[in-house]
Amino acid sequence: MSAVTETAKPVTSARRRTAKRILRSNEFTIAVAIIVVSIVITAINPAFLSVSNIFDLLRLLTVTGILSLGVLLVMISGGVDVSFPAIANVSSFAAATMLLAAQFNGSGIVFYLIATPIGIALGLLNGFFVARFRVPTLIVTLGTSSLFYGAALFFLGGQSIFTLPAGTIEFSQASLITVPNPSGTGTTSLHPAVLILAVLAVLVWLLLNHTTLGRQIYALGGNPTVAERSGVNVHRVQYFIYATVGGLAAIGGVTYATLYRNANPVGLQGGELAVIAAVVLGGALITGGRGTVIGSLFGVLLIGIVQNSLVLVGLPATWQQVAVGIVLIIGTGVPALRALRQRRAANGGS
Amino acid sequence: MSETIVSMTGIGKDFAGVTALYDVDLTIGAGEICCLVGENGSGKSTLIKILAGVHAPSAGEFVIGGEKRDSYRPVDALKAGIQVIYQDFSLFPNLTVAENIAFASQISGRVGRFSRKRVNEIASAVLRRIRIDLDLDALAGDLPMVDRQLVAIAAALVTDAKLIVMDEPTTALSQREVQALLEVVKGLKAEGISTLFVSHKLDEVAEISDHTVVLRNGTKVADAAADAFDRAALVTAMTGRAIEYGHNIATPVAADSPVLLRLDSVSRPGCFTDVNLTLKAGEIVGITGLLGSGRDTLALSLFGMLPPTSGNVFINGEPVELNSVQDAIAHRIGFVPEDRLTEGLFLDHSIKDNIVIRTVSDLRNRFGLLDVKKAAQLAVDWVANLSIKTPTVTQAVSTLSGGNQQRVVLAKWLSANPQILVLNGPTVGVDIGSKAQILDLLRELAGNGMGIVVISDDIPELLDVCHRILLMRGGHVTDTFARKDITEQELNTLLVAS
Repeated sequence: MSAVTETAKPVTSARRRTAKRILRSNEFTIAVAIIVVSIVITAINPAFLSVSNIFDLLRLLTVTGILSLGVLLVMISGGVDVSFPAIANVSSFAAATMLLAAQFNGSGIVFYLIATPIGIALGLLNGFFVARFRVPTLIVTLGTSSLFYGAALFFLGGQSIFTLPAGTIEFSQASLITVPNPSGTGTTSLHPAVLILAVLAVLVWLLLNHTTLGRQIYALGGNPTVAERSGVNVHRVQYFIYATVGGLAAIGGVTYATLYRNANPVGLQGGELAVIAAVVLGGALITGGRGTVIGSLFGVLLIGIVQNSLVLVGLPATWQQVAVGIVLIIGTGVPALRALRQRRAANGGS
Repeated sequence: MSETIVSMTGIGKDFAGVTALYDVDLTIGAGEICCLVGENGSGKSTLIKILAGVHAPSAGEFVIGGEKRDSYRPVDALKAGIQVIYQDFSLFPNLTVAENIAFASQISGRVGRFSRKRVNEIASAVLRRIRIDLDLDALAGDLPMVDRQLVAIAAALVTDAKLIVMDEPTTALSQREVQALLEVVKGLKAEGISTLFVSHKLDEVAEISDHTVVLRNGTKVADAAADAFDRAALVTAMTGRAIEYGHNIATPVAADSPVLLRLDSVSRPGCFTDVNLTLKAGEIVGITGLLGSGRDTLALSLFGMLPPTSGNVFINGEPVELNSVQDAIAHRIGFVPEDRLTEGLFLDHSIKDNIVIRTVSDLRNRFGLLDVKKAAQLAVDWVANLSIKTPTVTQAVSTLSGGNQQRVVLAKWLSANPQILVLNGPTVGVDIGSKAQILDLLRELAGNGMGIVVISDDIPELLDVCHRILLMRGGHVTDTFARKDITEQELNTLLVAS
């Protein structure tokens, strides 16, 4: 702190501060990590950087990416949601059941339009428990997760639905760009679902950074007591967050069902921790208040690359989990260590 | 004073039959700086909460902004321009300085688009107004305490505050930072904005306050122009008894007293450099300096938390390594941390659990399990020993006042019978009566042969209890004074000059 002596500070110092902040950001670190890992893998097997491999990777990561946006929102607000795979499965499975019953054979968009409100409704139920009863979010969502899976099995049965509407099948085979495989046989295409992810990512980014609601979500995660005291309608924000997560999960679930041409009630079960891990790797704090869209997507990408490229470098696929574990520990350990050092330096420095 | 902002008459407040406030009058005029002092439990907090609309008074009437109020809720207080800055500053650590400042008007108060540009404009306008330069894009949680305080003040100003109430604003600040804060308050006064300081550090606030109100046991015992009080009169008013200052020097250290601790040019890069220190049995050594001078890191290093990277440490003449807290404990060093709430206590746990935690492994019975009776007895003994005011030892520590909490921290360490006790800010947030008792206790412990290091920026306290005082600056010990060779005035001047 110092008193202002001149009216304007040199612009350069502000710029330097901004540059420093970017260099120190988690997003920057993880971007560097992605580049380094990519270089290493490419050095061992140049096929990694081929267009077809990248298209494959994007297709594989689209669903995780969509789901990570919801996880991010909850985490910024200071909560943890583990029910999103349940919502994704149940809402898409319920929608597919309805479409099958109605013998619907039209556009693939209808699948989304039916599943999303179901997802939002299930999310609102989470929001209700979190806001009204102030139950810790992890406990609420563990409970509702089990509830959703159980109810789906009881009411809808456990049979996978392969008979999806013609529009959905058509969408599953759609392609933005098609390239020939490097091996010379067959082609690989970029699936347009990646555009859904891109649009949602931009929307969530806009929400978080350019709306008062978004800043209220950060405030809620930073200090819930003060948020309430400062006039933030905490209940409304929580309802909004969990409803949005439900909606995003449903979109993720339908995309999953579309890409694999199969709607079933448990396909994404157990995937919650990997998505949460990717978001944490991307710099979101599990205690709330911090996290960015770009960081989360980078997190998903880094984990995806490590998970899916071991075969390319000649390591057996059985090592996947070990590799992902290592990435997670290093990825979250390094920033934690850096924060600790900074704190110590702040204690001692003048 | 031209205009009256707040006028309270005959305010009383009962909590479940316990009288917290009785017949208190308080008048604050526009542009007035009022200082509200009193010990913990004297009713200060209750009075502020009534002012903030959090508590409704059980008796009395108050007129705010020229209007008599019957129903008065927090939102009415805000509308009337009364802003309370609580001790936690009510900031969002993860939001930027600008966002924190403009939160009420630009984030919680509106629905729709969020403009960072607009937020930064509002924030920088307010900061210019109080002549403060802060990085608008820095996160509030990364700021030092004094800057957080300034952000909180700026945030209050955005909402057109007429009266800013600051609850213990100086607790976490060093002497120089307090000066900077007082300058800001003077600036507010020039604009006609009133300030109500709630404090129990008296001297620093006395110089700028227009009038001083003293509460004791829920009643107002004095209300007069600030210069009507000298320090002794104020202390007497607050405590109801005369507490002498500057006379209670500890018993002299015997010349043949053994050296307990010796630091031989210890350094740790970025923290402290070439520090030499000897501590004899029965001696109390004070270390002072501004925040960042190395006093806090030196304290931590004595407890093994920031081990020195060079130099030698001797305990009882033997060279030792203090690389971990376990090392320090093995050498019977006790440590009372700066922030007892987060570093010294398990707030939600009982007094008993907090006291026995340090010695719990000595309290095993023959089956290796905790001897519950012995543990309880130990806690009861220490509660009696240090006259901790509590009905039972099973009560949560969070229910105690600051002074009593600090005594629980002391009890925890004293029960382990340390030979060296390091205390960082031993009386921060502790009221005057308890403070005198804690200092008495330190003298008594030293009298019984313990070596004590007190790190503090409370100069009168150091002068009261130390045999020697070390002044740190930029990581170096720049001066060492024997107690008799230095006055408060001189030491203050040296401290601020650094």
